[in-house]
Amino acid sequence: MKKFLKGELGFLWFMAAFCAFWVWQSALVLKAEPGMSGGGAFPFACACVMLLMSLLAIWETRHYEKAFPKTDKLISKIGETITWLFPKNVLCTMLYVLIYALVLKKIGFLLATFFFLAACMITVRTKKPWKSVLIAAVAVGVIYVLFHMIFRVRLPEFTLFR
Amino acid sequence: MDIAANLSNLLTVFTQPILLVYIGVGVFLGVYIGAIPGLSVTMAASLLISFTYSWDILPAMAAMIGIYVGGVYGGSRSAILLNIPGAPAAIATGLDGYPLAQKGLAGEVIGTTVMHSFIGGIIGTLFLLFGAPWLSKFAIKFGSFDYFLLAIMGMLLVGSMSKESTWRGLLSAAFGLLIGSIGLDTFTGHPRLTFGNTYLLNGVSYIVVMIGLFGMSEALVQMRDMDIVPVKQKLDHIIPRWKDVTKYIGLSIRCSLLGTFVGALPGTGGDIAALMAYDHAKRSTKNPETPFGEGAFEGVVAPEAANNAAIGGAMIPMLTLGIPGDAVTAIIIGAMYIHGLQPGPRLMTQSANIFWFMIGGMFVANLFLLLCGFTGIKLFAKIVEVPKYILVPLIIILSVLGAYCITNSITDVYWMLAFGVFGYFLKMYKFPIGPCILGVILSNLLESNYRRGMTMARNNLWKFFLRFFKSPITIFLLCLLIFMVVSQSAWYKNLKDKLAAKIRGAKK
Repeated sequence: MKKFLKGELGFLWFMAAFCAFWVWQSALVLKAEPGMSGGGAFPFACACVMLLMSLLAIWETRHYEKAFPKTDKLISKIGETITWLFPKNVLCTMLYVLIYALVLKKIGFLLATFFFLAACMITVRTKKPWKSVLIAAVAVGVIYVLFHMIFRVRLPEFTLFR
Repeated sequence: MDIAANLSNLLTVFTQPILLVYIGVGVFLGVYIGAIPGLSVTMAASLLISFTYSWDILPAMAAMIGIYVGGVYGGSRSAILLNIPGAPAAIATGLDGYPLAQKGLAGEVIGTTVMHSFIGGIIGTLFLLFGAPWLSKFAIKFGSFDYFLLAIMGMLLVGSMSKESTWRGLLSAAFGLLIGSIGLDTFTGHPRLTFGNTYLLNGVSYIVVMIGLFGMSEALVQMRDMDIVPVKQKLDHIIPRWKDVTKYIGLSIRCSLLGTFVGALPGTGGDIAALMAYDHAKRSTKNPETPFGEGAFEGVVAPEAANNAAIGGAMIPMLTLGIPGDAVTAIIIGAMYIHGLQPGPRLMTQSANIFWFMIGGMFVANLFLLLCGFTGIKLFAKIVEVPKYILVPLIIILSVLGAYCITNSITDVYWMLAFGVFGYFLKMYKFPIGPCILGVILSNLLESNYRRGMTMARNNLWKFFLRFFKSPITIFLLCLLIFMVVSQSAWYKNLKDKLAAKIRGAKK
């Protein structure tokens, strides 16, 4: 018998709520542009299909084995799920990418990318951090030459003090 | 028609060796640009057009053709090696190409894609040479209902992509269709589902969605297993053996014909052709050595033959009618106008030399594809062996750059990241990603033709259905669609097994 992954049922219900949200929003569009050939028909149909499929996906799991023992408290289930979904590498990478995207326009491509690559590599492979810094510097150089000089792509520049 | 003059124009590229250089360099750049996740053949063509303003017409067209042929093929490399399609047309290639690379067969599978892309490209070009006038007349007869049915057929591929759960696959596909409808309504100009956000008025770019759902989410998933040692690649059979080529030749030819036909329809292109070819391969291959989705070579041959054949197909409406077959041909049309040409029916009368030169150039470009395609395979295959702690952050950077390069907007990067995180959750909980992209790609085709058809039927559902029986093309496509649906049912499979058993019994 199939077994739930940690947090799977919760995610399926989240998706059902997500789909219900889109049904509501597309119903508003349908109200504004009614008719079978109106602007609301297609998004509303898609959202309804999404909601139906999400409920069928939940129904499909009715015989699944639970991911956690019955005796576990909800708070520990949530904690275990979060730990499973976001191990250290994934959590740090998401954080670094968010910071990278936020500072990219301020400190420019070269600095932002170098710091991101170095941080990622050092976090994942803590041995020989100097090697990670060196690889990050070389990688940034190669990417800069390839994209900016050869492909003439305009990359974000340093604008922090402008 | 002066056959001697046309033949002379067809062979112009050989009489001016410098044109061979332009095509060769174009193909080479196209292959390597297309192979980088985030850079696409459309972007490469857009960049090139600015270079060619001051060039003569023949070198400009030669370079554009080279980039086009090389770039369409190139997108498959990153799909195979990194599970990040370089272009939407390579999505289907990655479904089986990536599992094959994970088994250490990256070199062999890339070599196979080169060979069958070449076969597809040649077949597409032959149709362009001999069949352009009648195929363009046929393509122009396609109406809203026909395009609607084609889009539905494309959506049937969802079933092929949903291994774990059909419901999750359909949810993913419907979400993709919904994403595709965000933005200004193309019919009324009213904003839909934009939540007052000006960025969303232009809709969500399918490139952003693709990079996020495939590239970024894959990088996050890979971050979970940094201890996995990269698979050692076997590089001893890069050039396919003759028996391996002939083994898949029937499938390759069928998919090339499919790709040429789909490419010839204005508004469709290599991405739809490749997806339909993959679906065809899955339906028509009995007892594959490896199941589809786990490393079936048929799953790589079919889309690659189709997407390169679609190039020849897309050139047909471009040259004969002045209508772009896809995004790249739209750019080539722009380049032709810049150089004082009139793509369309007048091209064959007023500038016949250009028409025949472009066909000759296509043949040469496909030959260069064979040459350039086999270069660098060992180097590319080694990419898979790069330690993950280096490769994965680089993939993230390329994903960010790819999203940024679309419109030089940081907002695209934020959306890409959002889709990347969402895609990570989808992957973790076994929701297939492919149907979502499929939905985004087909959304406009499906909706716009549905609404045109429904408008013609005066918003009457019964009249809308009756219109499917008005044209022979529509009736044929409807029958084909019904057959495609029925042939996947358990009832049909039982019937086939019973018939096969009866025939075996009768033979004994």
